[in-house]
Amino acid sequence: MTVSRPQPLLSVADLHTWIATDSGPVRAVDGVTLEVAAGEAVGLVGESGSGKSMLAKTVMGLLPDRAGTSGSVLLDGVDVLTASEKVRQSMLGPKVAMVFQDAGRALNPVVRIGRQITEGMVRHLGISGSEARERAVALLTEVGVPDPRRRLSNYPFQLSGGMRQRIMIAIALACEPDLLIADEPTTALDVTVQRQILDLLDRVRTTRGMGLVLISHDLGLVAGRTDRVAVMYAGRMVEEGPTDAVFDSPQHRYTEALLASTPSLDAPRARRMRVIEGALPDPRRPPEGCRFAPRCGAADAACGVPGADVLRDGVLGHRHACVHPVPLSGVGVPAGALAPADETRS
Amino acid sequence: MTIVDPGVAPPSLPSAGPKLPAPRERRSWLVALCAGWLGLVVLAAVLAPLLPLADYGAIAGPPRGKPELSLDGLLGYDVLGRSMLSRLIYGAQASLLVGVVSSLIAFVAGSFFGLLAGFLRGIVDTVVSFVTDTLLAFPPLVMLLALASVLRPSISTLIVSLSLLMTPTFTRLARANTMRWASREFVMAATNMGAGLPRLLSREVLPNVVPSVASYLPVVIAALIVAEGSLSFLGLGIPSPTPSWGGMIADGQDLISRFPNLVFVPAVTILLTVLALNIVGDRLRLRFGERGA
Amino acid sequence: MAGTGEAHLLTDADDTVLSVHHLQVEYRTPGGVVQAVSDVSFDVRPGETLGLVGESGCGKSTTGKAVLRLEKIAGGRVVYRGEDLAVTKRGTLRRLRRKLQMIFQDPVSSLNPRRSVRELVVEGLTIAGRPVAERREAADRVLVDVGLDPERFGPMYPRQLSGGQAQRVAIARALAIRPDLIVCDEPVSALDVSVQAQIVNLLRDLKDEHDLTLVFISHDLSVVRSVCDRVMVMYLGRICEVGDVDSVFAAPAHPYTRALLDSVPRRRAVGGFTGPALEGDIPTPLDPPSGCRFRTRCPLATDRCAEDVPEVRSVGEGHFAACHYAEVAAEAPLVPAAV
Repeated sequence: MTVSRPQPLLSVADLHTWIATDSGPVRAVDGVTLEVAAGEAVGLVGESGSGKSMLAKTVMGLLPDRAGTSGSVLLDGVDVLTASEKVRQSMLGPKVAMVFQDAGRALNPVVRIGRQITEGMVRHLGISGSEARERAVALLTEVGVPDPRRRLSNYPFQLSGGMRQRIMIAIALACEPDLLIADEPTTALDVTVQRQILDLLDRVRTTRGMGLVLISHDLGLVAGRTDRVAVMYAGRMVEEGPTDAVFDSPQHRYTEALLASTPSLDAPRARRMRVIEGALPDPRRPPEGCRFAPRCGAADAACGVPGADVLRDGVLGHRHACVHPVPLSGVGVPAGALAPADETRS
Repeated sequence: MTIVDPGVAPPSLPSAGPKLPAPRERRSWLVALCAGWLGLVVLAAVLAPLLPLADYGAIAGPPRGKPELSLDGLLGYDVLGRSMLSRLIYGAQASLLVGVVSSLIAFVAGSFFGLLAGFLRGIVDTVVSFVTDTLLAFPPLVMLLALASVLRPSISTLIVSLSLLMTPTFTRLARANTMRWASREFVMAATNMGAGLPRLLSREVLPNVVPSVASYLPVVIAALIVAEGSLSFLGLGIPSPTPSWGGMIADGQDLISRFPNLVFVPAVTILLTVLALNIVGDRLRLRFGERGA
Repeated sequence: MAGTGEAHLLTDADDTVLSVHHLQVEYRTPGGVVQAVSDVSFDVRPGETLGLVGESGCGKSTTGKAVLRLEKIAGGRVVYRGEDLAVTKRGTLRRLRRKLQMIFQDPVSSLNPRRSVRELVVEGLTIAGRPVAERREAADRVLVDVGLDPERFGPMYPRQLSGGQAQRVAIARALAIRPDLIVCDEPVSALDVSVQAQIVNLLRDLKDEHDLTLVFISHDLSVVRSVCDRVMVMYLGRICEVGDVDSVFAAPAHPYTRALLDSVPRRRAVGGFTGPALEGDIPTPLDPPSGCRFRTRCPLATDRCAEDVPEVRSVGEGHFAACHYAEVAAEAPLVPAAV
């Protein structure tokens, strides 16, 4: 698919990220290309080991010492992989900010909330401490923290999980980033609180016209609130396109299987759940060709050819990496409603 | 910005990998060296009677004699003309005996109390913790001096004193580890399968607690070898004529400026042994200390 | 939100495997005594899968552990085969407890890291002092039952297993002593979606093959809906609603159940959700609200809710709720998921 959008905010091209271990490099992200336009919400979906979090960490420069990268990550035209430490630091905050899964760990336990919010503003925006405080109060109001002035002098442990996640979002928003990366922002939260945080993310994104990368293992969570979605498996991107198109008519066999094996309140109750047999391949020695092939019912010899899993244009404006894409008969039918195949236990 | 042509197969991983920080395992030669030294010391101590050495109490050369090219005189002679090498090797017996046996006693006793306190909690924990904290609050030297003034100095009283000194430390370690493991769900699962207290303690908790507590043994042995040295220095160590490393330093201290080897030889031996114990201990802790998941 | 009352219990005790009356569990904390489970009654019918749902702090896990007496019971009765587990003697408890097994959320944490899989799965038989030959035969049998090759997995240690494999081992361990009932505490929450489905199917198959009854504790409503026959919703230590999965999910009678369902992200709903968000946070269990514990966040709450503790009462065939305004709550139709 030829990309006709104007200058993207974030442009990841052929990115490889690997972590050296004693038994060889773990290929966490392996040749991923992804673009996020200004103001666009993109979902990044995958199970553990898919490389979705590692991709975010690469963008944020949060990789461990043992990691290596190749390819390019252009943020507003600047390649963060080759940029100097100083340039990179100056972009974290005003250009891109991140919200983590575990706010309890991401916040500094011994520093007051107020200082954690204002710190970046003073450094990046060059405003005075008192002005930063005023802005912090406004931010906390925006993210729905009651009694914001008093909260500024609280420590993280004095707040509930949901409040801490709001504080983290406030910190991320402090320098008015163009792009917010939210890595499983609600996984540690209860469902009613998760709901509040998702609504909040939606709200700040639309009011600020901010780009959003929403990373999650939960398909339903990404589905309702993103423009486009990218599905990753074992370090590779397997499908990418407009969210509705991908979820309504998944073409990659993995996407289809993942959707079908996710229990949903909308699908009819099935006696058995559809399963994906087997387990993830060893990330040190991934199979040639399509990495999902060993677990795929439709796989044949063609799937094992190196390069079999390059992204190709599909229908409805999405791209997929499947040699034997799912036929389009399922359009308009909720994927979860497809008759569950009778699987045998592995 | 254009996208890289997606029709190109993913490149294989660049062969020149990232520059790796030397992983800890890279220094295994150092650990091997240390283990070798410890082996040598233990071997010498055990085989001392079989070695063609002069008796550690016998006059084998001139008093304060310089080192010479003979087995007995290799490290020189002490104030009375006894072979330094012989005394060093026999001294290893006493020093290691005191260090190892006291540590083991403290380890066993501490593990026992710590296990009970950490698993049963409640009143047992209160009592054990109180006694432990009280013992730890005593300055160790004061406690040893007090014990030495009550008990007749001998190897066994020294061992009793030193093991008493270290038991609270092991108790705390074992208690903390026990609490960590006792809250794990496999203990609950075993309870639910009808396991009684003895089985829970001996089969579920203890096997997990022992390695991490035992990994502190080398460090404690090292500390006690030094402690024995300090006590000898104060005249409270292993009574003469039995040689010990600390005792040798104490004997030679007055002559240190003119005959430095009298102090130097046992001091360096202690240094090397303690260093080796610490390095090996560190490695053991890395291996077994936090093996949780 | 009350959970006081027993209207939802079966009158004929013969029809239940396990019957819980006015269960009370308390924790002592530095801030005071917390009633983690407060006056909860329910029964478990033979062969069914009963779901316990709610958010953290609602007491669902504590309830699950308390019925096996893995938590200290502060009050109430837990009746299994005519025996009250809450007060029974140690010896009897040990014997009866073997019939009631548990599977935990973190499969890795629930396996002793120093035992091989083969030793782990027959732990219950080892404790019971069964002969080696019987144990070896049983180990092979249950490993095959849970879909693990005994030759390959038998000698492995927990750290060599993936999360899904470890959970299979935990299930095998529970199966080996032939229990009547298994309490599954968030058994798939720590697992990836694709593995989650494998474990759910496995539990379902084993339930049929071994005539098991399951208590399935989960925060995930979608999973509960696909696994359970009946469901019990809890909030802050009390029961909100009990009933058949179909009726509870189709027509929730308690405002909290409604709010829970509305909070699940839906692919096809406008805005991603089927209803309005619930305001605020769960109150501290140290000082729960008077009357109905949900009233501080409830859109329907009135003064009456602050005074009267609502009793569990029938709101339909096999459907019970503890809300003064259950009829009002049930009337408001669920916003249909727009297709």
